[in-house]
Amino acid sequence: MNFDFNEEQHFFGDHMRRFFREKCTPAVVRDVLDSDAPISVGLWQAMNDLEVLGCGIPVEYGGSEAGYLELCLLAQEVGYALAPIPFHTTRCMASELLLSCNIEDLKGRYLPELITGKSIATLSLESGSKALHLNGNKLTGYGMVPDGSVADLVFICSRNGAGSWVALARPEDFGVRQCAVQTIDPTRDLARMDFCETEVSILARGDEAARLIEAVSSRAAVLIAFEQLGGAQKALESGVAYAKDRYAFGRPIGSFQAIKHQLADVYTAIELARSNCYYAAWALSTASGELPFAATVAHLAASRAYQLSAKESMQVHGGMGFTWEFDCHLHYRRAAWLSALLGGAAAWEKRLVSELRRQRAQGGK
Amino acid sequence: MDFADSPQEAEFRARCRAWIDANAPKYLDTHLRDSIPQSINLGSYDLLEEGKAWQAKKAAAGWACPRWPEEYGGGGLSPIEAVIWNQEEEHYGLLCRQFLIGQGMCGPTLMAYGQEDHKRAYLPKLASGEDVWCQMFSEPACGSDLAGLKTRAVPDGDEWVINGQKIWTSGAHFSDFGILLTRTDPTVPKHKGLTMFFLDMKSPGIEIRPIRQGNGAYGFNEVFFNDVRIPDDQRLGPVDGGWKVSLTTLMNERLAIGEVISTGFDEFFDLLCSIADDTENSEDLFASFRSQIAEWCISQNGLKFTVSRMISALSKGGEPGPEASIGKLVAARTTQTVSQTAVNLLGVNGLVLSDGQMKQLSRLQGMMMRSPGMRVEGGTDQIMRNIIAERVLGLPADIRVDKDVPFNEIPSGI
Repeated sequence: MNFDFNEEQHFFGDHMRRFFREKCTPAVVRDVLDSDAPISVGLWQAMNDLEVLGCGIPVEYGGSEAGYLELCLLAQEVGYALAPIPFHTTRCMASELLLSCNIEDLKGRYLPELITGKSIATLSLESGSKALHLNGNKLTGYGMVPDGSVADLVFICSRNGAGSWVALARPEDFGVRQCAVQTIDPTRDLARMDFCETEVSILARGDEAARLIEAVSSRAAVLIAFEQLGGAQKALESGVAYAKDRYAFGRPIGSFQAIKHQLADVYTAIELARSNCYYAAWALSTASGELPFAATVAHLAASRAYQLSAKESMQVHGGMGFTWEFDCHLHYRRAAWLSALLGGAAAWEKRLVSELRRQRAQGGK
Repeated sequence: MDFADSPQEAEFRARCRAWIDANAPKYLDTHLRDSIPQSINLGSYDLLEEGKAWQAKKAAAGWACPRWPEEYGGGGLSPIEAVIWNQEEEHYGLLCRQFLIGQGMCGPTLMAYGQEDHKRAYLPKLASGEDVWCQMFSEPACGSDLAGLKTRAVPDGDEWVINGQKIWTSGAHFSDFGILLTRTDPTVPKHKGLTMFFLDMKSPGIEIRPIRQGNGAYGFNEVFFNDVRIPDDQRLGPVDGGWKVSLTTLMNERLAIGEVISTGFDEFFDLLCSIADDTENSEDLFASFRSQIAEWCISQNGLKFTVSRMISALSKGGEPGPEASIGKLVAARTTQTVSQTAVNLLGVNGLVLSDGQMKQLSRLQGMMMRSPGMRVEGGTDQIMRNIIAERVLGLPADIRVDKDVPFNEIPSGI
């Protein structure tokens, strides 16, 4: 059994951590936080120069030899660094949709653009809401789209059983109106996009669309889970460091059991999430039939671990943790963002129960 | 990243499987599969007798104590081979849990600190199940604070005279030997005046009284020492150096890696589904438990793959990392919450002790009544959190007011 990343993969992860430490300084994150800039263009450019977005993409589309395990570790480092870049949308969501669809010329046309950073793409997962109507190939209504302010390609998924559809819109071609909205996490972009009889390309309808949406949901969930895992780890480390440095009652606060037990519980949640994430990384990288289940437990576990880690670390920091100056609120915000991005815990819990019932009906795991 | 065995591992696994298939006591299958690990019920068969028979059979074929050297009765296998053996032994391993303290804790201590002739005399019989050993550390007034123990050992010629009381001693009533931590110098700080021995449990002056647990079962004992004499050559480690020896023992206190860690979640979900089959609003039933199902499924699946991470470390020739420390903490508390919820599911009917008609309910009832003990034994939830915080996260040790005070001047509240 070798249920671990290999040495080269760990080396790659370490390399990316050093890259972000150097290029994604607190000032870079703060620039996006305190301005109207939707992303850090400089950081995104520097990351694209490393040609790492090609991890997991077949070479015929310009991908690299590195696979999904490397991509998982990259996502983890993006989370650890709180990087304000459209990685999750372009690579974890939109590129995964392209890879999962069966339209060869779309893949050949767009994947090379995306993994070299020439285009930013995004994906909106709508649960069959009434806000959007598709009539033929004309789309009317509005959707909330992550990185919508900067995206060149917008995939819209409407999940509604046999009425599901997946469409592609190019804001520049169709004159889609977009407007950034204020969110809980100002280091990530969210835009409201308005469509009015907008002509879109249909990638899939009906069962095929439902299949595609399920596939991309699972794949994105694994990668987002790793981003959450990285963030959770960083928040824990900062809480531990503060508990060692901060003195009260003549001793470091980390020597009090009340603080120790709080941080030990965070560690425990993170290790459980890590084990679930490793399982999901294995399922993703081997195209296992267990992927829908593995992705679900990983995303649920990592959502809980990051939210727990962010809030408990913030609390361990005392009053300082509640200042704009400390980074605690950035993790608190990012944890909320990433947990909601793919539909939120309730939707994923529902998916988990269906998955468990399906497994049981088939006679065990 | 994969779960596959290496070719050598696969070959070894096949050998284990073939031997087990040819030799295992299959007539016990139903009983063992229906038992929970902490409370094994073999019906009319005797657990000690069946356990000894299976252990002796394994020893004769070289499968007992897989990681021990062969000269001491072990299998001389590598850590990863031991894991594979544990996995393949499956439910038959339950028969030998009663030897786990002796083989998992006393044996390694004797191996590290015993005289060579003692090791050759005692270890093979411990490995084969002929002799059962117990561990006598905790006392009525000291569990988490182990170094505060009071049982006295006083030198008398080339012997020691023991007086005092131990408690929570698993299997003392059927043990042949035991290791014993005593106080030899009460005038120095508590960690510095302890000494370790091993002794014959039939020695004159030992009295063993069973303790009835909260779940009604008898797993533990009180052991009283009244002028019990131990030869000095049965001392393990230096006089007043027993604390370090005890750390060797406690380091080995963990589940055999490779065993499935149960949380009761599979049983719970099975029970929930079978209730749903007979319910009109089954969707409501599932909906009301979604969040808890998610929580427990994450824990169960997380523990399963944490074990996989540990096994991978062994497979590469290393040791498991700090993630190993979360297992008992998570398993105990999850088992308790899951089983309480399960028992509550059926209203009054869930309270009626199940007679095998509802196998899952019966197991969950057993877990509910056994789990409070799981949260205490082998380190309380609180001690486990201290260990994670101090040894894994590196947080500073708590201030210990009794650390440098002579033992006989420490306030005891009595």
